[in-house]
Amino acid sequence: MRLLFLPLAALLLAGGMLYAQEGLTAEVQPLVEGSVEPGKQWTFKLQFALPDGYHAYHKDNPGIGMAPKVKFTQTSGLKLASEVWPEPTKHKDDSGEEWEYSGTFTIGYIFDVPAGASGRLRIAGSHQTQFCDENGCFMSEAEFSADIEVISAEPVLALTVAPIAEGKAQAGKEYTLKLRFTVPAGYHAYHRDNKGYGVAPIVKWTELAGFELAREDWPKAKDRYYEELEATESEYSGTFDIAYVFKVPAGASGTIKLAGTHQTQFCNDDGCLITEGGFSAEIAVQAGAEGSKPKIPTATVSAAFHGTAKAGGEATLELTIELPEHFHTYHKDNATVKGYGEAPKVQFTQTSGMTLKSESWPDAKKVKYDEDWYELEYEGKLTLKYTFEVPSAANAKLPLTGSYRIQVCDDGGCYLNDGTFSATLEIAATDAPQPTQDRARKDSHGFYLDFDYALEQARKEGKPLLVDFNGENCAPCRKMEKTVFSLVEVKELFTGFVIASVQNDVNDVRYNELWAKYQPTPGAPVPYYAIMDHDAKVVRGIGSTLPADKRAHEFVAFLKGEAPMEPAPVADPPSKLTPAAIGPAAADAPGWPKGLFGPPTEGQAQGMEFSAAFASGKVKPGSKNSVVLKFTMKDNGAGEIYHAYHPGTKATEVNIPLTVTLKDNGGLKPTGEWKYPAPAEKVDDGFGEEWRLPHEFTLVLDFEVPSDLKPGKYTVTGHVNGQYCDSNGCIFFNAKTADSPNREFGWVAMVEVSLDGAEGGVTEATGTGGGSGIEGEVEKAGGIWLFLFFALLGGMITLLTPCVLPVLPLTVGFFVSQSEKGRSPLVTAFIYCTCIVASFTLFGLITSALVGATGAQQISTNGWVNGFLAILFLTFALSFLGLFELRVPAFMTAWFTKKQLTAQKEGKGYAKAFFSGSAFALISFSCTGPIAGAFLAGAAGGDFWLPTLAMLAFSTGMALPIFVMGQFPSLMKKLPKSGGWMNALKVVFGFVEIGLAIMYFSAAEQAFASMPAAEWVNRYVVLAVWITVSLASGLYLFGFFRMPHDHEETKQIGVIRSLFAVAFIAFALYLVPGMFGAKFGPTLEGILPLPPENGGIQLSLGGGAPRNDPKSLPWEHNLAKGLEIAAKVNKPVFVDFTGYN
Amino acid sequence: MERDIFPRDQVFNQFKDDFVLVAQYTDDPDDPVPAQNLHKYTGGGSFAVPLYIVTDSKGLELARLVPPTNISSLSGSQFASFLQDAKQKYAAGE
Repeated sequence: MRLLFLPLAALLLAGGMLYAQEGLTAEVQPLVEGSVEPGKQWTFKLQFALPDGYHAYHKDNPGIGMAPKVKFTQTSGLKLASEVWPEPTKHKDDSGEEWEYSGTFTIGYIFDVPAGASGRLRIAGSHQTQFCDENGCFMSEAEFSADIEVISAEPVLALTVAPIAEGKAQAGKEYTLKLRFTVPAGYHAYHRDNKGYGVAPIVKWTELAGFELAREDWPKAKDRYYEELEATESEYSGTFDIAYVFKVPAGASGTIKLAGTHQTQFCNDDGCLITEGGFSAEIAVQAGAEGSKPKIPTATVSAAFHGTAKAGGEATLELTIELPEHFHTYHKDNATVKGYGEAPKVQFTQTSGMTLKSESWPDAKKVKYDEDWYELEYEGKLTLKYTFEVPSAANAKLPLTGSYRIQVCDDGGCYLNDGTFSATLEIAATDAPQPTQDRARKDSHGFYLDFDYALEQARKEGKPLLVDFNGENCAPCRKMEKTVFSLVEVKELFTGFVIASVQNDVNDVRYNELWAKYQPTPGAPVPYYAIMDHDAKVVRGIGSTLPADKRAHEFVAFLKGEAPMEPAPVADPPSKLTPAAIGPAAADAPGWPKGLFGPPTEGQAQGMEFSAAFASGKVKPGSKNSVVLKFTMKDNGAGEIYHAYHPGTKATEVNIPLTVTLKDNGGLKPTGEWKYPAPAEKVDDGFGEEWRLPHEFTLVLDFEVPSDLKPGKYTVTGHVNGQYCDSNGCIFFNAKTADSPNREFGWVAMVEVSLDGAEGGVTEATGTGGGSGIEGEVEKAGGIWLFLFFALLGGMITLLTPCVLPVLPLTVGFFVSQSEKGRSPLVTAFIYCTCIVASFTLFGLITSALVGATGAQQISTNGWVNGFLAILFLTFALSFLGLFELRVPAFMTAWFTKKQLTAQKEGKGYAKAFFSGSAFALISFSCTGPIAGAFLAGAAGGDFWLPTLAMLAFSTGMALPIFVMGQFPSLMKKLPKSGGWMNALKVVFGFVEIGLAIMYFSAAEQAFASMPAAEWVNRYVVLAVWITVSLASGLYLFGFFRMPHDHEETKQIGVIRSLFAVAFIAFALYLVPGMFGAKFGPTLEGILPLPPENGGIQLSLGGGAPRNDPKSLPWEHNLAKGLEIAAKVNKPVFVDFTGYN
Repeated sequence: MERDIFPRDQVFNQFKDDFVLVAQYTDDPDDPVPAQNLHKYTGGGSFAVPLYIVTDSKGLELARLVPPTNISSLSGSQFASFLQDAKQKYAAGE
């Protein structure tokens, strides 16, 4: 931009020059001021006067405008030294910055005047001045000249005044201070009582510090009569002293400063001159002998370095001055405001090689005393900061001393405070971090991590030492911290201890040593808490023996020392366990040939047992075999069986899964990975989901026996790592820490390879016991009982539907009539109900068989299945809402009815019970079918037996009340009366089934389109339908509208009914945020489809960023081909085992 | 999974640059091979998909990721570091 303006500016310039002819000019006038003295500098000034609205430019203008050009054509021997340009106005706009002058401005030209210069001299030159307004620029050119006169130098005449302070002032007495005036030769000054014209020196005292001027003694002057003036002047010449007598205050002490100014006229016969100046004197004052405590206001001064400094760095000394009340002192720049007060003077007498770099003074208050007289004052407390450079060779401590003199004043006067100060600078070690700091480090609970340091602290503070032996990977330890340590009572008790934390599972030599020494029994679990005395002897210790909920109580008692504790170990166990100490198994088992634990210790024997063996002990070369590690978890002695973790456990800091490593394959070829059984249960206790292995389980690794392997015995060895836990704690074992042999779990398996061996012994991992015992689809393990409970409940509710409730009295009446005929109502009802249960369970069994174990996975991914279910539910829904009635084909019911009648005719009451039970199941289908279907569909996605179990539960729910009423017919009266509410129940079920139908429609679309989420019947459509049906159910229950089969008007709404209505409407509202992208809890999200790829109607207006589309990548669908490509391009293969779901 | 994790830059770029990608639709009714492959890598039994396995060019497994039950709790960076680890194992095996 700037470049563009240059030609434009040139054009304007040219134009401006033309305009200049029209008479606008910049007037330039030389100003001759000041005296021109030889050998000195003199400033020649040129005054520029610009026309209104125009401006000229500074010489350093960064913009376009050109500064006035001045050329001196004649300087008469004077040499131009420098130029002084006044401050321009800086004007900034889009085109750049211009430094401008307007109106009148003066440029100073400083000339060196030669020593020999004299007489009249001429300065002349020319100027060329550009001046511009917004529209254009003009140029003025003119010459200037000025004549100057050099004045010859004369000796400088000055009168001096000096105070003469003699002796010490005595408090309470008089003190005389003399001022000595020295008058230049040939001149004279005048007496105070001069009758002539001469003026006596005028002395003003500015500082008296409480001194009171009592009188002044002037020496005698010489009277001289001047005829021409007709006056007598009393004159002093040469040197004369005026004595000022002060009254010293009684309380004065220390050093007092007296200061003042003078204005003295001195004259000779030709004329008079006046000298002005100041003077000050310091007077030592001796405290009064009367013993009256001298009350000198004194400032308190302290000096200190803040923090430590590094050698070669900087350190700041803070000098804090606390002024006495109502007194003030002054800023160091006090003189700049023409103040009289003196700032504190600080001198450093010893700095240990440190050099003062800078000082900083706080801001002072500007106090006005008179026109043109201010003081910069401090009051109260002030801190002066002195920054020093620290020598690079500085040692640990650098002493510094200094002295100060502080003037403190109030309105009455000023006092001088003298004193010294000292401070010591600590130099931080520059290398290695400060060991003291490092040793004092603490964990998040404020526990010391350095045991030895904590012990030292305990001695120092005289408190017992509490040692928290815990593990980094120990969930119960974390639980203790979370649940017990956080208690107020515990926290308070903690203050009575110095606490150290020692972890037994981190690779720290010191920790291992400590744990080896202090563990109550070898292989004891953590957490373990020990209270120690100052000799590091355990006073009492507490392990983990109680469930966590009783822990707090026990732990508090332990801290207080109120409960019997586990005895402290009698003697220090050997820190390194010898084979003999490890146990008999280890002694006779180098390499652990028995396939048992390497060295079983007490702790391990508590937790679990395991053995290793090949599936087939004797195999042929070229066959396959498996190593099977069989684990049995043991009882913790309190009825709880220990558990280990499945590798599917979400790895957290506290959950360590059980893993097996292969150390030596003994010449056999391992294939694949270790096989695990399904976990017995999944527990989330807030530390991540734990997948617990069954109580008895096997881990299996398959091997190939090479066909060229010589017959003989081969051993395979390895390690087991992990932890086993009960609800109190975990015992961690890890083969990797070689220095903890007592924790190493090894295994050995031997196989005989022989030509007459078995063909192979490949097997699978198994597991039994533990958790809910559900195998296979463990994900639903927790929810399965809930599901079955709901199925049971569903069955009971079905009894209340209009197809069933009205016929119940008939059914019960049948039982009664049978009992009248001498048949046991118990048996009759049992047969009847078993039939109902059997019919439904059969239906569930058929579903189970159809869907099958592998099909269970597919049912939710198959479009046809989902589509069928969707239509089924829609049909049920329409039926419930009253569009039509679903019926079991007439021939079926007819057959059963016929059989029933036949049985009755033949008097076979029990047979009748059978047929009527079956008939009941069929006839009630129009109501029970849709409800049973919902449970069936929900169950089909899970385990093989789940549909059967669901139907069993559902039908039991239905049959049980019938059975009970069969025994106690009087209960019939307690049943709710038939009525409009039954239809209401049906209608609500209908709405619910619409919700289910839309869900299956969505799943069907997703399966057919092979997409992660449905696009059309997407999440938002499902949500919208759910919200609508839920709202409709609520409004319907409140009686806002009627449905086809509603006969009676809803006059009053029952309490139960209104509660349901509220629940439905609330659920609808709860779902609303989902329409705008909100996510729900895991239960709901598990049912709801994922949001569609393109966001559907989700409010994602801002999301315009291009998305990586994984589908655009070259996905190979043939694994073999993928491997070929991988070999060519030298890349690993990523295999995505997925489904169209 | 495909939709939430794969498009993330840290994952997508590794896919693009460092891996040969193979998709095995184990529920494809017309192609039993992917299901058989799954069986091969999991040693039979029931195994839920998705399951991610990285192999070398001989088909030997280098790493495996069994997504947590609650798939949405798996983060993109977790998945990216799984791929990273697998790559390192592959490089170490070279």
